[in-house]
Amino acid sequence: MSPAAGRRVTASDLGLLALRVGLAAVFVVHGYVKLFGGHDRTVALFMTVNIPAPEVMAWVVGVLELAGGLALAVGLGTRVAAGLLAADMAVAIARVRWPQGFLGAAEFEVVLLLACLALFGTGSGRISLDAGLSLRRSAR
Amino acid sequence: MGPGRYAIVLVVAIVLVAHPVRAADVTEVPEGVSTEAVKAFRGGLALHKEKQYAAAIREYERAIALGGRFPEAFNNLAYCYRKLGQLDRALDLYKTAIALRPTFPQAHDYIARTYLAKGDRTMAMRHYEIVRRLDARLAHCLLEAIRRGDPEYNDMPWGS
Repeated sequence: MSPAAGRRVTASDLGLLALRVGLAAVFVVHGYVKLFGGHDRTVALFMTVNIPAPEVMAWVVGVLELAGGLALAVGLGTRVAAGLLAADMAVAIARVRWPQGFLGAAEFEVVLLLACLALFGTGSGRISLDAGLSLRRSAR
Repeated sequence: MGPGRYAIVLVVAIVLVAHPVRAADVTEVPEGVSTEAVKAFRGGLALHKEKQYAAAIREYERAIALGGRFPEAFNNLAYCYRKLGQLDRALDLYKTAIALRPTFPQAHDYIARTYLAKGDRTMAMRHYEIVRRLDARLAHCLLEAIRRGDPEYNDMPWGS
Protein backbone atom coordinates (compact mmCIF):
# COMPACT_ATOMS: atom_id res chain seq x y z
CA MET A 1 0.00 0.00 0.00
CA SER A 2 1.37 3.44 -0.92
CA PRO A 3 1.66 6.14 1.80
CA ALA A 4 -1.06 8.13 0.01
CA ALA A 5 -3.49 5.21 0.23
CA GLY A 6 -2.72 4.93 3.95
CA ARG A 7 -3.92 8.51 4.43
CA ARG A 8 -7.15 8.12 2.51
CA VAL A 9 -10.27 8.62 4.61
CA THR A 10 -12.67 5.67 4.43
CA ALA A 11 -16.25 5.05 5.43
CA SER A 12 -14.91 3.34 8.57
CA ASP A 13 -13.16 6.57 9.54
CA LEU A 14 -16.41 8.48 9.15
CA GLY A 15 -18.18 5.84 11.25
CA LEU A 16 -15.55 6.13 13.99
CA LEU A 17 -15.83 9.92 13.88
CA ALA A 18 -19.61 9.68 14.33
CA LEU A 19 -19.16 7.26 17.23
CA ARG A 20 -16.58 9.52 18.87
CA VAL A 21 -18.66 12.67 18.50
CA GLY A 22 -21.80 10.94 19.81
CA LEU A 23 -19.97 9.59 22.86
CA ALA A 24 -18.17 12.89 23.38
CA ALA A 25 -21.45 14.84 23.49
CA VAL A 26 -22.82 12.55 26.21
CA PHE A 27 -19.68 12.48 28.35
CA VAL A 28 -18.89 16.19 28.03
CA VAL A 29 -22.39 17.20 29.11
CA HIS A 30 -22.42 14.73 32.02
CA GLY A 31 -18.93 15.78 33.09
CA TYR A 32 -19.85 19.45 32.94
CA VAL A 33 -22.96 18.88 35.06
CA LYS A 34 -20.97 16.88 37.63
CA LEU A 35 -18.40 19.66 37.93
CA PHE A 36 -20.46 22.82 37.63
CA GLY A 37 -24.15 22.04 38.01
CA GLY A 38 -24.60 19.10 40.32
CA HIS A 39 -21.49 18.39 42.34
CA ASP A 40 -23.40 17.91 45.61
CA ARG A 41 -25.85 15.60 43.90
CA THR A 42 -22.97 13.51 42.55
CA VAL A 43 -21.39 13.35 46.01
CA ALA A 44 -24.75 12.24 47.45
CA LEU A 45 -25.02 9.56 44.79
CA PHE A 46 -21.49 8.30 45.48
CA MET A 47 -22.15 8.28 49.24
CA THR A 48 -25.33 6.28 48.69
CA VAL A 49 -23.65 3.60 46.59
CA ASN A 50 -20.59 3.47 48.88
CA ILE A 51 -17.96 4.87 46.51
CA PRO A 52 -14.82 5.56 48.59
CA ALA A 53 -13.84 9.23 49.13
CA PRO A 54 -17.04 10.50 47.46
CA GLU A 55 -16.08 14.20 47.51
CA VAL A 56 -12.80 13.53 45.71
CA MET A 57 -14.25 10.91 43.38
CA ALA A 58 -17.04 13.27 42.29
CA TRP A 59 -14.36 15.72 41.06
CA VAL A 60 -12.28 12.93 39.52
CA VAL A 61 -15.21 11.46 37.61
CA GLY A 62 -16.41 14.90 36.50
CA VAL A 63 -12.96 15.78 35.14
CA LEU A 64 -12.61 12.34 33.54
CA GLU A 65 -15.95 12.63 31.73
CA LEU A 66 -15.39 16.23 30.60
CA ALA A 67 -11.75 15.82 29.54
CA GLY A 68 -12.28 12.27 28.24
CA GLY A 69 -15.25 13.46 26.20
CA LEU A 70 -13.23 16.31 24.69
CA ALA A 71 -10.39 13.89 23.93
CA LEU A 72 -12.81 11.59 22.09
CA ALA A 73 -14.26 14.54 20.15
CA VAL A 74 -10.89 15.59 18.75
CA GLY A 75 -9.47 12.06 18.67
CA LEU A 76 -6.51 12.66 20.98
CA GLY A 77 -5.37 9.78 23.19
CA THR A 78 -8.53 8.03 22.08
CA ARG A 79 -7.67 4.55 23.37
CA VAL A 80 -6.70 5.83 26.82
CA ALA A 81 -9.79 8.07 27.08
CA ALA A 82 -12.10 5.31 25.85
CA GLY A 83 -10.56 2.79 28.27
CA LEU A 84 -10.97 5.10 31.27
CA LEU A 85 -14.53 6.01 30.30
CA ALA A 86 -15.34 2.32 29.86
CA ALA A 87 -14.10 1.70 33.42
CA ASP A 88 -16.24 4.65 34.58
CA MET A 89 -19.30 3.08 32.94
CA ALA A 90 -18.52 -0.37 34.35
CA VAL A 91 -18.58 1.07 37.88
CA ALA A 92 -21.77 3.05 37.17
CA ILE A 93 -23.49 -0.10 35.93
CA ALA A 94 -22.30 -2.31 38.78
CA ARG A 95 -22.93 0.13 41.63
CA VAL A 96 -25.93 2.15 40.46
CA ARG A 97 -27.76 0.95 37.38
CA TRP A 98 -27.85 -2.84 37.50
CA PRO A 99 -30.01 -2.99 40.67
CA GLN A 100 -32.53 -0.76 38.85
CA GLY A 101 -32.96 -3.22 35.98
CA PHE A 102 -32.04 -3.10 32.31
CA LEU A 103 -34.92 -1.44 30.44
CA GLY A 104 -35.05 2.24 31.24
CA ALA A 105 -32.08 1.96 33.57
CA ALA A 106 -28.81 0.12 32.82
CA GLU A 107 -29.37 -0.04 29.07
CA PHE A 108 -27.92 3.41 28.37
CA GLU A 109 -24.73 2.85 30.37
CA VAL A 110 -24.32 -0.60 28.82
CA VAL A 111 -24.39 0.95 25.34
CA LEU A 112 -21.88 3.61 26.43
CA LEU A 113 -19.62 0.93 27.91
CA LEU A 114 -19.68 -1.16 24.74
CA ALA A 115 -19.14 1.86 22.50
CA CYS A 116 -16.13 2.90 24.60
CA LEU A 117 -14.75 -0.64 24.42
CA ALA A 118 -15.19 -0.54 20.64
CA LEU A 119 -13.13 2.66 20.41
CA PHE A 120 -10.59 1.21 22.83
CA GLY A 121 -10.17 -1.65 20.36
CA THR A 122 -10.19 0.29 17.09
CA GLY A 123 -8.60 3.60 18.01
CA SER A 124 -9.79 6.91 16.62
CA GLY A 125 -9.61 6.40 12.86
CA ARG A 126 -7.95 8.78 10.41
CA ILE A 127 -10.09 11.86 11.12
CA SER A 128 -8.39 12.62 14.42
CA LEU A 129 -5.47 14.35 16.07
CA ASP A 130 -4.03 10.92 16.88
CA ALA A 131 -3.82 10.15 13.14
CA GLY A 132 -2.43 13.61 12.35
CA LEU A 133 0.30 13.26 14.97
CA SER A 134 1.12 9.76 13.75
CA LEU A 135 1.48 11.01 10.14
CA ARG A 136 3.72 13.86 11.27
CA ARG A 137 5.93 11.42 13.19
CA SER A 138 6.20 9.04 10.24
CA ALA A 139 7.04 11.94 7.86
CA ARG A 140 10.10 12.91 9.95
CA MET B 1 -13.09 30.12 11.18
CA GLY B 2 -9.86 29.28 13.04
CA PRO B 3 -9.37 26.52 15.61
CA GLY B 4 -9.61 29.05 18.48
CA ARG B 5 -13.08 30.10 17.36
CA TYR B 6 -14.14 26.47 17.00
CA ALA B 7 -13.04 25.93 20.60
CA ILE B 8 -15.07 28.93 21.79
CA VAL B 9 -18.16 27.72 19.92
CA LEU B 10 -17.68 24.24 21.45
CA VAL B 11 -17.41 25.61 25.00
CA VAL B 12 -20.48 27.85 24.55
CA ALA B 13 -22.44 24.90 23.13
CA ILE B 14 -21.48 22.74 26.12
CA VAL B 15 -22.58 25.43 28.59
CA LEU B 16 -25.89 25.98 26.79
CA VAL B 17 -26.68 22.27 26.54
CA ALA B 18 -25.50 21.22 29.97
CA HIS B 19 -26.51 24.05 32.25
CA PRO B 20 -30.29 23.64 32.24
CA VAL B 21 -29.95 19.95 33.22
CA ARG B 22 -31.74 19.59 36.53
CA ALA B 23 -33.16 16.77 38.61
CA ALA B 24 -36.50 15.44 37.45
CA ASP B 25 -39.54 16.33 39.51
CA VAL B 26 -39.94 13.35 41.84
CA THR B 27 -43.58 13.99 42.69
CA GLU B 28 -44.76 12.58 39.37
CA VAL B 29 -45.31 8.96 38.43
CA PRO B 30 -42.67 8.02 35.85
CA GLU B 31 -43.59 7.36 32.24
CA GLY B 32 -44.16 3.79 31.17
CA VAL B 33 -46.08 2.73 34.29
CA SER B 34 -49.39 1.04 33.48
CA THR B 35 -52.65 2.96 33.93
CA GLU B 36 -53.86 0.41 36.49
CA ALA B 37 -50.70 0.79 38.55
CA VAL B 38 -51.00 4.58 38.44
CA LYS B 39 -54.64 4.35 39.51
CA ALA B 40 -53.73 2.10 42.45
CA PHE B 41 -50.85 4.43 43.38
CA ARG B 42 -53.13 7.49 43.31
CA GLY B 43 -55.69 5.59 45.40
CA GLY B 44 -52.96 4.78 47.91
CA LEU B 45 -51.88 8.39 47.99
CA ALA B 46 -55.42 9.59 48.75
CA LEU B 47 -55.75 7.11 51.64
CA HIS B 48 -52.24 7.96 52.79
CA LYS B 49 -53.16 11.65 53.04
CA GLU B 50 -56.19 10.65 55.12
CA LYS B 51 -53.75 8.75 57.39
CA GLN B 52 -55.51 5.48 56.58
CA TYR B 53 -52.18 3.72 56.44
CA ALA B 54 -53.36 0.08 56.41
CA ALA B 55 -55.69 0.77 53.47
CA ALA B 56 -53.00 2.82 51.72
CA ILE B 57 -50.57 -0.11 52.08
CA ARG B 58 -52.99 -2.37 50.21
CA GLU B 59 -53.22 0.11 47.33
CA TYR B 60 -49.49 0.74 47.13
CA GLU B 61 -48.75 -2.98 47.20
CA ARG B 62 -51.31 -3.45 44.44
CA ALA B 63 -49.63 -0.68 42.42
CA ILE B 64 -46.26 -2.40 42.80
CA ALA B 65 -47.73 -5.80 41.90
CA LEU B 66 -49.19 -4.22 38.75
CA GLY B 67 -45.72 -3.23 37.65
CA GLY B 68 -45.43 0.14 39.33
CA ARG B 69 -41.90 -0.53 40.61
CA PHE B 70 -41.00 3.13 40.89
CA PRO B 71 -39.29 4.72 43.89
CA GLU B 72 -42.27 6.81 45.05
CA ALA B 73 -44.40 3.68 45.45
CA PHE B 74 -41.80 2.00 47.69
CA ASN B 75 -41.13 5.21 49.58
CA ASN B 76 -44.82 5.79 50.31
CA LEU B 77 -45.36 2.16 51.23
CA ALA B 78 -42.42 2.33 53.62
CA TYR B 79 -43.83 5.51 55.14
CA CYS B 80 -47.14 3.77 55.89
CA TYR B 81 -45.37 0.77 57.47
CA ARG B 82 -43.27 3.15 59.55
CA LYS B 83 -46.37 4.96 60.76
CA LEU B 84 -47.83 1.57 61.77
CA GLY B 85 -44.65 0.82 63.74
CA GLN B 86 -43.28 -1.88 61.39
CA LEU B 87 -39.82 -0.37 61.25
CA ASP B 88 -37.86 -3.30 59.79
CA ARG B 89 -40.31 -3.67 56.92
CA ALA B 90 -40.14 0.10 56.37
CA LEU B 91 -36.32 -0.01 56.29
CA ASP B 92 -36.31 -2.72 53.60
CA LEU B 93 -38.74 -0.73 51.47
CA TYR B 94 -36.80 2.52 51.86
CA LYS B 95 -33.67 0.65 50.76
CA THR B 96 -35.51 -0.48 47.63
CA ALA B 97 -36.67 3.09 46.92
CA ILE B 98 -33.09 4.31 47.31
CA ALA B 99 -31.70 1.54 45.10
CA LEU B 100 -34.16 2.59 42.40
CA ARG B 101 -33.23 6.27 42.77
CA PRO B 102 -30.07 6.82 44.84
CA THR B 103 -30.59 10.61 44.88
CA PHE B 104 -34.14 10.50 46.26
CA PRO B 105 -34.01 13.05 49.13
CA GLN B 106 -37.29 12.10 50.81
CA ALA B 107 -36.36 8.41 50.96
CA HIS B 108 -33.02 9.31 52.59
CA ASP B 109 -34.85 11.64 55.02
CA TYR B 110 -37.35 8.95 55.98
CA ILE B 111 -34.86 6.14 56.27
CA ALA B 112 -32.81 8.38 58.58
CA ARG B 113 -35.90 8.89 60.74
CA THR B 114 -36.56 5.14 60.74
CA TYR B 115 -33.00 4.46 61.91
CA LEU B 116 -33.49 7.14 64.55
CA ALA B 117 -36.67 5.41 65.71
CA LYS B 118 -34.67 2.19 66.01
CA GLY B 119 -32.01 4.03 68.05
CA ASP B 120 -29.34 3.91 65.31
CA ARG B 121 -28.13 7.51 65.35
CA THR B 122 -25.02 6.67 63.31
CA MET B 123 -27.02 5.49 60.29
CA ALA B 124 -29.42 8.41 60.74
CA MET B 125 -26.47 10.83 60.52
CA ARG B 126 -25.07 8.97 57.51
CA HIS B 127 -28.30 9.56 55.61
CA TYR B 128 -28.49 13.12 56.92
CA GLU B 129 -25.14 13.80 55.23
CA ILE B 130 -26.67 12.63 51.96
CA VAL B 131 -29.88 14.66 52.42
CA ARG B 132 -27.74 17.75 53.20
CA ARG B 133 -26.35 17.56 49.66
CA LEU B 134 -29.71 16.99 48.01
CA ASP B 135 -32.21 19.24 49.78
CA ALA B 136 -31.21 21.90 52.32
CA ARG B 137 -34.73 22.39 53.68
CA LEU B 138 -35.28 18.70 54.36
CA ALA B 139 -31.81 18.44 55.86
CA HIS B 140 -32.48 21.28 58.30
CA CYS B 141 -35.63 19.55 59.62
CA LEU B 142 -33.94 16.16 59.73
CA LEU B 143 -30.96 17.46 61.68
CA GLU B 144 -33.30 19.00 64.24
CA ALA B 145 -35.14 15.67 64.52
CA ILE B 146 -31.82 13.88 65.11
CA ARG B 147 -30.73 16.48 67.67
CA ARG B 148 -34.01 16.07 69.55
CA GLY B 149 -33.93 12.29 69.15
CA ASP B 150 -37.48 12.60 67.83
CA PRO B 151 -38.07 10.89 64.46
CA GLU B 152 -41.53 12.46 64.20
CA TYR B 153 -40.25 16.04 64.53
CA ASN B 154 -41.48 18.04 61.54
CA ASP B 155 -42.06 14.82 59.62
CA MET B 156 -43.72 16.00 56.44
CA PRO B 157 -45.90 13.33 54.83
CA TRP B 158 -44.86 12.46 51.32
CA GLY B 159 -47.20 13.86 48.70
CA SER B 160 -48.64 16.58 50.95
